[in-house]
Amino acid sequence: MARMGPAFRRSKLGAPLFLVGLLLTIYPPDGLLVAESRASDEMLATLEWLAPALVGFILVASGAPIYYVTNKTRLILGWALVLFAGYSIFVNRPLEADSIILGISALLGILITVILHLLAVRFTESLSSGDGVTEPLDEDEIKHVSAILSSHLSQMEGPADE
Amino acid sequence: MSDFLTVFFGTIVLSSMAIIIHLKAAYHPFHNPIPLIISSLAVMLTGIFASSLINSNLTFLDSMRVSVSESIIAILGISPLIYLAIFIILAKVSISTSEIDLN
Repeated sequence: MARMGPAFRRSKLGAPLFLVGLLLTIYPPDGLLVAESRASDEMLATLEWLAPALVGFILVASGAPIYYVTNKTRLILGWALVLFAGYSIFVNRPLEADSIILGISALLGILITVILHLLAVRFTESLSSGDGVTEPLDEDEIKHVSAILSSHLSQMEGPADE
Repeated sequence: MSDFLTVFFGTIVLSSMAIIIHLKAAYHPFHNPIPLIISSLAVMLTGIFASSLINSNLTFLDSMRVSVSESIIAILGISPLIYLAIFIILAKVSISTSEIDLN
């Protein structure tokens, strides 16, 4: 989310939102409903395996073979963390039938929302008339773009010749 | 059945909230998010209304809080399956020995 939008104006909301969410998970406010307290406890319990799993996944992905080059230190460290997370899940969080049924319900809810959102996107785009065919560059614009390209090409050729 | 529907509508509310936050965070000058925000708000309000019908003993706001909390618990409940899926993908990547034929 922090990297959405064009590169010249990317949103800076992602990291603060993540930090606020993490802080509220670790230090929940007072006056929560019973269901909210349960959700808060569940999130804290999930963090115990999710944190090592996430770090492990990133380490394994970056240490895995890319063009025959493997970073074994990252790979071994990553798999150690991933296996630790798996052990933690196995010991503390066995899957139950109720969890799976409610999980299916949650997945259905997500699916329905995404389908409705995609239909809304399609409808919104159908309303747009479009901008038509772009006009070709005029003489001044051609000169300007040529000057920029020449400048960049001469800069690229410079260091290679040295 | 009541729990199933509470989680279902709670997840719709939660997902709509996530879409609205995403539209705000992903805003850029060449994008008009207003129709999508309106549609997401409509979906979210429908979800809140439906969950308030199921939990009729609670107020409108409390039924939303309860259903969203229950949906978070349900999503976390199946998160080990997501772990397992990523585990399998990374295991395949780690032992990948496919070679490129350069001839």
